[in-house]
Amino acid sequence: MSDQSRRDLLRGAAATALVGSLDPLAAQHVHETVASQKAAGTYQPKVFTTAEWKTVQVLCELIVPGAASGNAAEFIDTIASANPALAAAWTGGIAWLNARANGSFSNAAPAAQTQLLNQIAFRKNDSPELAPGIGFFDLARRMTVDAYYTSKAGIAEIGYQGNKGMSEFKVPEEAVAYVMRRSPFA
Amino acid sequence: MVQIQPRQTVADVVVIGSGAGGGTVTRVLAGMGINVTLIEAGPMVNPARDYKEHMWPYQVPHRGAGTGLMYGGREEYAFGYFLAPNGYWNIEGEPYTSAPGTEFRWFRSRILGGRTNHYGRISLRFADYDFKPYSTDGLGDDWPITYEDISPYYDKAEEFIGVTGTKEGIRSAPDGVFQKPAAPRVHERLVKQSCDKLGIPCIPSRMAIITKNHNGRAACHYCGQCGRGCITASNYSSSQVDIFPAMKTGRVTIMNDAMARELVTGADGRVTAVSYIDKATRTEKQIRCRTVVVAASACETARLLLNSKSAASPNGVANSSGVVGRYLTDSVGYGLTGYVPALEGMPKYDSDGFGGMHVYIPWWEWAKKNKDFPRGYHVEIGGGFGMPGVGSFHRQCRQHEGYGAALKQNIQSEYGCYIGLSGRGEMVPNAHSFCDIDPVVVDRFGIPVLRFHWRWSEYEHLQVKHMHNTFAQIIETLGGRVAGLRNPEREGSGISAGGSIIHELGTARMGADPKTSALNKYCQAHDAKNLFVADAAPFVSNPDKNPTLTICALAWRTAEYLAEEMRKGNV
Repeated sequence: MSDQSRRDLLRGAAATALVGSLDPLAAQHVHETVASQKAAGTYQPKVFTTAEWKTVQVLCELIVPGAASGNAAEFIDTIASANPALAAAWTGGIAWLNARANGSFSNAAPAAQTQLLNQIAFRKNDSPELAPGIGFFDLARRMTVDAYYTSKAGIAEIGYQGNKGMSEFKVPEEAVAYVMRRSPFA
Repeated sequence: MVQIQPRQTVADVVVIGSGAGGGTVTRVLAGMGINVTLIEAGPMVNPARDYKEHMWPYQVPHRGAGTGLMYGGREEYAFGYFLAPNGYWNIEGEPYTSAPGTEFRWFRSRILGGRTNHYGRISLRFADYDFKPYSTDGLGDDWPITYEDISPYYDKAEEFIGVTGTKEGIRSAPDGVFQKPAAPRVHERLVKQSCDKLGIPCIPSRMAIITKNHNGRAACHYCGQCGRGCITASNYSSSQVDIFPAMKTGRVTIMNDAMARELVTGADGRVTAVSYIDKATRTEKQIRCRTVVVAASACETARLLLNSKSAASPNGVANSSGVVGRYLTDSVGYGLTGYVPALEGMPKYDSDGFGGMHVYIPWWEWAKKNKDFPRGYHVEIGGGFGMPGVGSFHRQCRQHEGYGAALKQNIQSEYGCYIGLSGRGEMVPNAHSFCDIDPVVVDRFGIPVLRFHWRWSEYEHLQVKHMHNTFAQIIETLGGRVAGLRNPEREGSGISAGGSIIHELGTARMGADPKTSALNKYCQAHDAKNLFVADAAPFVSNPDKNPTLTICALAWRTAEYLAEEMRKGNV
């Protein structure tokens, strides 16, 4: 569904609201239609070379298994393409990884990849030599997590159930009972 | 929508600013048959186009991260990409300054409806004692009106805009005309239990959200996104609830993208015209007026008055007292986040509800003697299974580090297990906190800008300590542990940065004595009878209640008074 038609739909709902009687189904319809909107097409990276692009994809998948289903690499490229400092941080970070993986992090053996990540994924390993890698990994981790958990796949996995209209706000009693049982007020 | 007034026309009422105050005045006057010309510094708002309600983050390629400035530690959107187009901490070409060694954050809006497009909808009446702070503790000044004076206007405002709540009989939180509240969420029931044990009240929140169809507006559909702006107008915003309906009377002319520059006064001190910058052409224009209502937001109102100098008003119009810009206050903000193990593994549910809390903690120690700070605060409660967004899990990234399955597990298990407690307290006006005109800097229109001077006093720092101890107690009593500070904009001690709670007010205060106040008890200028103020500038104090409902009530009262004075020919 195009952005234009989505807007038309929303405009219709708002116009209805202004003149007086909003069909509750209209609000629900907006939610559902918006939810079904999906981007399509094959992505062409704007910032990364072919080799870098592969590295971004491999790294994202290592940070968050399933990151590809959340289009994490596409998210990173999109933002980096609008932010030269961020693009430099990524290309520089990839070069840093490659320099410690016989020239290609993405082609390195899985054990070699995780060995390197085990060093840079924790601040406690900080050293003059590892500092650039730790700094880059912190950025890569936050961006990959953001990408995945704001994607359809990540939102489904985390179990967020909202962003839909309801006529009455209800709290499931089993959730209340579960928590109270575990609380000091049991 | 811009309609240029022919120069010879004299507008009956020019309202400057379209937020809660300007919107209320416009609607009330138009409803009484009076023509209103409304000047707004920003564009019109089109909720259907401009609000991003119900959008998923994946519907934009950047997911809400924009150009990623957040990853470099810089802000890009004041409150996130998906929030309503409400305003900015920094407006390009329209700076403000702070005196050396002080910092003040000023959130300004440039759009029809102003900050009501996004605000928290919290709607709290001031208590009887809030109008008599000096009589209560010898600090500050009493208001020239009492609770009894404003109470009927609270009734009208609540009935009209729709406010949820329950009758509780708590002196610090007077009861009003309420719509049915929403059921408390799971974590809110836990907080309530904790408060019960500690002897602290925790009651259904009072929000400008309708839970039944009202005046042609649809009841809330509980999507939790009030801050994005509500396309169905199920919460209060002045554009949708006041101004659009008022336009249907045919008596409202809106001049948008018009930045008020100066009030032009005649020899008798009365305002004869409003000079403004037509942003589209960057030319200065004037609209002649019989009366003017300034509702530009407290500090922008002070700036306009101070910039309106003449031989008769060398210190600015309505400022023979010299108080304009003085007595600037903001709410005291302090917040703690708590991690609650009891919430781990809870069955997931749609906890969206209102865009905001379903229960809150009103102040409870108003009668306590020998407190080490004056006044009080209320507490706002956050938590639940929020829609994931960029930044939602940075805490887990920072805290647990790592990657892969372990990282995912940490994110998954902590989702929905945090609660937030945010105190909003009363600041006592002090001589070090005010705004004046910067002697050098002008904005892109050539209008001199505001310069802020700011300092919290010991009273506020002591209050924040009380907040900290209370919040830690509440969190620990429900089995949680304090996880960190919550205010994003704060000073070293954790107290909010001045202005950052966006409850700045008091800069053209009302009072009975023209020597110590700018406005009389109807918010009419002592020095210029056809000049009124209808935002939070007239407030004499800044009680621990969010100001918007009182802005609406006071503006309503001012509008009725103005209409009556016009009818009598007094203005």
